[in-house]
Amino acid sequence: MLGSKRSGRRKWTWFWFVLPSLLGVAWFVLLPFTDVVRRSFSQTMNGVFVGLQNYDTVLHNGAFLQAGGNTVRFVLICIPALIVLSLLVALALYGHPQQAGVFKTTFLIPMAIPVASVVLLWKVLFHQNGLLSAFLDGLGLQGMDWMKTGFSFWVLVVSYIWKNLGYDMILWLAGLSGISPSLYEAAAVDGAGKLKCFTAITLPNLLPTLYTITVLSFLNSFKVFREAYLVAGDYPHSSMYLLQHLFNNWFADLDMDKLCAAAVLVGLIIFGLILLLRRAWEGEGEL
Amino acid sequence: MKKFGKRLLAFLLAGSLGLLSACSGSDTPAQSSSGDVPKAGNTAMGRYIEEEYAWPQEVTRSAGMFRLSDGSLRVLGSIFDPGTFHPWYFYSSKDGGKSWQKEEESPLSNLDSDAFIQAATYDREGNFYFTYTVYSQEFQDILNEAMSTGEIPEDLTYPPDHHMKVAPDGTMTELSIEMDKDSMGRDAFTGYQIADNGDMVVENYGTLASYDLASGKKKNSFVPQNGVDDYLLIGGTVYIVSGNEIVLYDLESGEATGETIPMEGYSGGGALSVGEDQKSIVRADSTGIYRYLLDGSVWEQIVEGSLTSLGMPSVHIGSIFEMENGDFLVRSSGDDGYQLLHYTFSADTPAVPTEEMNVYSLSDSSTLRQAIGLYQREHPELRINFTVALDPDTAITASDAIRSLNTELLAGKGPDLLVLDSLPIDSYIEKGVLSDLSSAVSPLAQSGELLENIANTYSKDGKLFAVPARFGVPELWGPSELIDSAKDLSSFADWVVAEHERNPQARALIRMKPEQLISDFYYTCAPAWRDEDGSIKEAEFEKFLTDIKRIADAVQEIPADYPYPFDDEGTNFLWGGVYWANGLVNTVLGLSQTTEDLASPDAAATYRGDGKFAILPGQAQNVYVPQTLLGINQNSTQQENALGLIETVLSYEVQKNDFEDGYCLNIKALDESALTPYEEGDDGMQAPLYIDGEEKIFQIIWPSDETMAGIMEKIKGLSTPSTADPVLLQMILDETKDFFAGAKTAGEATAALVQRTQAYLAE
Repeated sequence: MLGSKRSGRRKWTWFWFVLPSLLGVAWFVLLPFTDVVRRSFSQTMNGVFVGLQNYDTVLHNGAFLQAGGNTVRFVLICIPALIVLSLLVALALYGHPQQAGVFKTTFLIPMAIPVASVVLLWKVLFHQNGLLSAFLDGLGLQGMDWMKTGFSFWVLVVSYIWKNLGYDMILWLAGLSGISPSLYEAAAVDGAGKLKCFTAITLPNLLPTLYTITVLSFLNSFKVFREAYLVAGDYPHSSMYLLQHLFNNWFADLDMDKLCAAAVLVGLIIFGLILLLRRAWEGEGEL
Repeated sequence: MKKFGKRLLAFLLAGSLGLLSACSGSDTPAQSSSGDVPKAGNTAMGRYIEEEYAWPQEVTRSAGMFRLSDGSLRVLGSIFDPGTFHPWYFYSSKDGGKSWQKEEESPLSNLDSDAFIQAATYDREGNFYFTYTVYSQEFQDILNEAMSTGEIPEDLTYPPDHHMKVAPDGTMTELSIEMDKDSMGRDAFTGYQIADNGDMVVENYGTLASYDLASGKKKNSFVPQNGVDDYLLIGGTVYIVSGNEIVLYDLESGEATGETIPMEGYSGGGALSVGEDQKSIVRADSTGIYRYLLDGSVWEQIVEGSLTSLGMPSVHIGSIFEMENGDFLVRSSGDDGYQLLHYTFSADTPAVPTEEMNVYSLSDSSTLRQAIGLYQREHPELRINFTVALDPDTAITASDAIRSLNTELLAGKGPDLLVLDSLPIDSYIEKGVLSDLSSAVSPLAQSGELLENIANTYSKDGKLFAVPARFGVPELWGPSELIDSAKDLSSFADWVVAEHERNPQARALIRMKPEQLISDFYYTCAPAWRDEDGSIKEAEFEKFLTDIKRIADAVQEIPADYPYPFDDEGTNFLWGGVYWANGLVNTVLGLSQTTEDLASPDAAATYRGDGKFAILPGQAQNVYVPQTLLGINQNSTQQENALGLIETVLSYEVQKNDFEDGYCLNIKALDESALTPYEEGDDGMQAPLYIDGEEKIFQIIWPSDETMAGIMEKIKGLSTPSTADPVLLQMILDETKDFFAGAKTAGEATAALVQRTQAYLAE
C-alpha cells in the first residue's frame, strides 16, 4: 500500500515542477497569443468580427509578400550554409582535441558580442566613409554606402553565420561525442574508409542533432532583425526588409488587425515546418 | 532536518527571483483620465489659487515695483513712447496690489521732461534711490542720424547718469559714486539694491560689486564661477544665483562664505525675493513658487506652476513679493505689457484638482502650453498634464514613443488630447481613434473666426477629426521678373538657369545643394507626385528631379573674401534678406512660421528697388503646411474639456502670441500679426551691409500696409495641404544621390525610388 502511494505521488512530481514555468508561459506567451488570434479576426479598435478579411488583406499586401520573400530567401541561404560550415568546423576540431580549446573559444566569442557593437562594426566597415569604401577608393574604385544597396543582404547573411557558427559547432561536437567509438573500430576492421565511415556512421548518428540545430538555427535567424533595425531603421534597403520590419511598422501605424493576421500566418508556417522536420527525422530513427 | 533546510532555501531563492523579476513600466504616455471625483472625506483640501490683478493701466514702461516696510506697494512708471520721454509717476497700492492710485506729486515731478530713469530701489529705512539720464532732443537727433547712416561720430559724448537719493521727507540729493565704466565711458550698471549697512550693491551684465555710498568708492567685487544671474541681500550676506545654485558672499569682506544652496530644477529666469519673515527666500519661475528656509535644506513648492499661468510661455516673471498675510504677488511682462498675478491660499479648494486631463505631444509646443495655462486658470478644478514624449534627456526615439502610445490606445486608454504632428494621423482617422471635432470647430470656421480652408484640412464625410492650430507657409522673395514669370518649378528653374547665364557671378539661391533643394521644394511639389493611394507618379517625379538638377547645376560660389560667414544651412529669413540686400543671392525662400519673416526680405527688396513676394512655386500650387494638429481620443472621458481646450488653442487670446511655430488660424490674430510691431518713430532693427568694402547699416522695419495686405490675401487663399513625410524624404535623398552625381538618369533614379518605396507605401 505504502509503495503504491509513493509511486502515485512520484507520477505527479513532474507536474508540480513544471507548473510554475507552465503558468508563466501560459500567462506571458499563450494567453497573449490567443488574444493575437482573436484580434486577427476582428477590427483594430472596436473589435468587430470581420472573418478572414484580415488574412485576405495580408496575403494580397505587397509589403508582406516582399518581406516574406526576403525572409524565406534569407532562411534558405543561411540555414544550409550555417549547418554545413559549422559541421565542417566541428569535424575539424573533433579530430584534433588537443588544439581544439582555443578555437572553440574563438568561434564562440561572436555570440557574446552585443548587438550594438556589431552594428557599430558594420558602420565602420560599410558606411559611405567606412573602411571598405576607403579601401576601394585607394584602388581607384568608387565606394558607396553599402548598407543602402543590395550588398546589405549579404552583410546580413555573413553576420548571421559569423554570430551563430560557434553555437552550432558546440551542438555538433556534442553530437559527435555521443557516437560510440566502437562503431568506427568495427567499420575499420571491415575495411571502411574515412568517407564511408562519415556517410554510414557519422551522418546517420548525427540526425537527431541535425534536427535540433536546424530548428534552433531557424529560430535564431529571426534575431538578425536586431542588427538590421539598428543599422538601417524602420525602412532599410528592400533586400533587407524582413517580416519583423513590417510588423514593427504596422504596430506604429496601429494596423493591429493586419499585424495579428500576419503573425498567426507566420506562426502556423513555422509550426508546420517544424512538424514536417520532425516527421522526416522520425522516419530515420528516434530523436 | 537537513532536507527541510534545503527545501526552505530553495523556496526562498525561488521567491526572491520572482520578486526581483517584476517588470517596470516605462515610456508609457499619460493615461486617459477617469474624471472621477474623489470620495468625500478622502480629499486633501487647501492650495493657492491664482487671480489676475489690474496693473496701473497707463504704465507701459516701469522702472521698478517695490514693497515698502509698511507693506504697501509702489510702482514707478511712465509711458513707453519711442522717441519721446514722458513724465514718471509713482503708483501706490495699500491693498496688496488689488487697486492702484497715481501720485500726481512726488519728488520726481521736478525731473527734466527728457529724463529717463534707468534703475531705482528702496532701502529698509524708506529712502528711495534712482538713476536718471537726460537725453536732450539734440542728442536724440545725433543718435538717430548715426543709426541711419551707420556712422557714429567719434566725439559723441553720452549724457551723464545722475544717481539720486530721496529721503522719506522728500529731500533729494545727488550721490557721487565712482562706478566702473563701460566701453562707452558710461557708468556700468543694469540695476542695484541697498544693503542693510548702507552699501549699494550694483549689478552689471553678470557681475556684482558693492560701493560705499559715503565715500562713493568701490568696496568689493563678487565673482562667482558661473556669473551672476540674480541676487538678494539679507543682512550682511549676498545671495548670488550663479548657474543652478545660490552662492553666499560676505558683504563686508567680499569673500565667499563657502556655503551654497542648490536650486534643483532651476533652469534660469524667474525672480527671487526675501520672504516676509526675513528668514527665507522666495522664488518664482515657470514651474511654480518655492520657499527656502535659510536654516533649512529644501525648496518647498508653494504653488505648482502647471496649475497656473506661470507655466505659460508668454509670461516672463519680473519680480515676486510675499505679503503679510502669506499671499504672493508676481509681476510679469509679455507682449501685452505688464501683468500682476496674485496667489492666495484657499482652504476650501482641493489641494489637487479633482479632475484630470492628459495632453500628449511628441514635441513641445508653446502654443499649447499657453492655451493650457489659460484654460487651467478658468478651470481650477481641472489639472492638465502635458506630456512631451521626445525629451532631449532621454534616448527614446519617435518610433518607440509612437508604439508606446499605440499600446495605450489599443487598451482603450491613452491621452485625452493628442498633438498629431508626426503621428500616423491617417491611420488613426481610418481606425476611429479620433473623435469628431466638427461640433466645436466647424461653427468657428463657418462664422469667419478661423481660416475655413485650413481648419477643414482633415474633414472627411462631413466630420472633422483633426484641426491644425498653426500652419507654415512656403515663401519666396525675389526680383519681379522671377515672381511674375515663375508659376511652377519648371519656370522657376528656367529663370535660375537664365540668370546664371546672364550673370555667372550671381548666386540664385542661398541653399543650392541637391539635398537642400529637395527639402526646400518638397512641400510644394510632393502633393503633385503622390497618388491618392500614396504611390509615386513617376512622370511627375522625374520632372521634379530634372528641374532640381537644373537649379543645382547653376550654383555659384560665395566670394572667398566676403567678411561674414555665409551659412547656407542655418539661414533664416532675417539673414536671407541681409544676404539679398548685400547682393550675395537673388532670392530668399523657405518655410515661414511668422509674419516677422517678411520684414527682412521686404526691406531688402525696398533697398534694391525691386523685389516681390510669392507663395513658393512648385508642382502644386497654393501650398500650406498644417502644424500643431489637434485631435481628441475617442475613448477620452474628458471630451468636453478637450474640446474646450481646442477652442482655447484656436482663440484669439492664444493665437495672438507669436511663438514662431506657425501662422495663426484665427483670422483676427492673423490680421493683427500683419500689423507693424514698431511704434511710430521706432527705427526697427539694424543689420550689416557690406558695400564696396565698407560696412553700412541695413535698416529692417516692416512691410508697408499695401504690401502686407497683398501678402495676407495670398496666405488666406492657400488651399493645398502638404505634410512632412520624413521617411519618404529620406528615401528620396538616398535614391537620388547617384542621379545628381551623374551616375544615373532621372528615369533610373525614379525607378529606384519607386522600388524602394514599394514596401513603405504598400504597408
